[in-house]
Amino acid sequence: MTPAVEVRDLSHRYVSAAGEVVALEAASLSVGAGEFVSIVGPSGCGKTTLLRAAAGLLEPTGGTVRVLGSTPEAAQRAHAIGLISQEPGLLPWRSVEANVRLPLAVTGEGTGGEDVPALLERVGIARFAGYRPAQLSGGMRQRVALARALVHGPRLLLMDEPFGALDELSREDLRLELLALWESERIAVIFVTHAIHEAVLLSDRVVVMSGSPGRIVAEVAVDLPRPRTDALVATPRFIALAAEVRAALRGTTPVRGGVA
Amino acid sequence: MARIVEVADRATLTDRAPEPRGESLLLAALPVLVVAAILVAWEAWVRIAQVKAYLLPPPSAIARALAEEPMRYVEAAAVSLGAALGGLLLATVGAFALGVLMAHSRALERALYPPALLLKVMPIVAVYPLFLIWFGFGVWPRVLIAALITFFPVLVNTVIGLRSIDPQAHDFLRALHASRSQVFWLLRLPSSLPYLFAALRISVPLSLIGAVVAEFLSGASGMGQLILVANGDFDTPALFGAVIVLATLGVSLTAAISYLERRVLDWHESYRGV
Repeated sequence: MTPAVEVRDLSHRYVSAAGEVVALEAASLSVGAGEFVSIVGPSGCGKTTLLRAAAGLLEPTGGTVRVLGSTPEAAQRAHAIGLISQEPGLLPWRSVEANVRLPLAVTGEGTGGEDVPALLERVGIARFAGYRPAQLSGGMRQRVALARALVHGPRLLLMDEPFGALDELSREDLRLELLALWESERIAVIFVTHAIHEAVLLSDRVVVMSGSPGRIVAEVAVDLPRPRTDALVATPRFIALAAEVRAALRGTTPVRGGVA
Repeated sequence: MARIVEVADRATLTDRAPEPRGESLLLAALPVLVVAAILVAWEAWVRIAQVKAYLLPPPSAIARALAEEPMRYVEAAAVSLGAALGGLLLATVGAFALGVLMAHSRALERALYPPALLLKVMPIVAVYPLFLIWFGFGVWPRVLIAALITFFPVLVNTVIGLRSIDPQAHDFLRALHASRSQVFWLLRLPSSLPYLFAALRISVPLSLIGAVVAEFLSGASGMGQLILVANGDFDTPALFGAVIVLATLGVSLTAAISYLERRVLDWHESYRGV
């Protein structure tokens, strides 16, 4: 089966008036179809750059990115990508439902891959279908963004610190709902986050990056059973895995799994 | 899930507490009372001090001037209004079209901005004689003056508005391989509307000024001509009448734009909850 994302020796330099910044150096990563992979790392480690390259939003200065066996641009054209950013980026003049339908206005498909009312129901925003984004809380807005990213039936979901701006309770709720959604859809996910617990709880694999220059320093396979619940967080296995990710982030201990 | 929804319901859907009804009525009546007080004081002072009518007519004389020949004012106002709105429409369409081009390309913006700025800094009093030579004494020179004076605010605001898009929403659309025209219709155009309305609020009174100044300079027709004639006759009540008619026109147009803005931009921060 073709991997959802295949990144080889990816490098990227930002050139500005102040000079050149190496955002990413020789990063290689493979994400299988239906696999949930988190990328953790400090600010400025290039994780967002990697995600944007996979989304076809930036042209890397070195290396190759393949998405679903083709170029990121071809994946865009096939409407195979769903994107969620830290800020929901909803259109304030559209209702919740019209925001969720936005991709269908672009792809031109009559109804799209999803039944919209059912999707609104599943992410818990059916009651607010007629509301404007400004009338919703941050957590609710991010649910709208989640539904919008899924409505056209993508095969790859790219999430850039999607819960980063939310309060802890909303984060918890959204994590569990994301898990439930993913377990029924089984699309490939790349999930960028600062939070170690979040990465371990959600993922099949956690990719650890370090900064200046940004590179991948470790991969931790998460062998916790699914479906996952909050209760896992207190188990010895979860704690051991979280410690392993933390150690890799700190660069203190030899790391199981190694670099791809 | 139900729990979450309920919490959000309570936390986010709070309404603003309505003002007590009596208080808001008083607030609405306040400016009317102030104007009435000023009129009464004015009338009293002119009568007591026996000020000459050609220097400062009492409000009653102004009202009489307006009431005796209402059609004179209505016809002149209609002419001025036509020129002003015609010019405004011309400028808005032209400036918006140019703004779309400039917002799409930095090179075009760089090339077209200086000539556009030149249009703005040109004194209309100096340009108007040229317009008269080129276009005669008909309605066109006046329309063009109104257009000239309103073009720049619309242009600048259009360019800024079309560029003021939410970067996350833009990324989302790009990741869907949305075309430039889809990005324009779905994201850029709606994002630019608050800026366009801000420009219109500036431009509407300007267009009226442009039209009246042009009429004043040519003396052909409209409120400008009415002022010119009244001035020649030392008909001070008519001059005041013209001021009142023009002020009423300006206020009405601004109110109309505000109404439209509130309807179109009900999603915008500035109108939320109004």
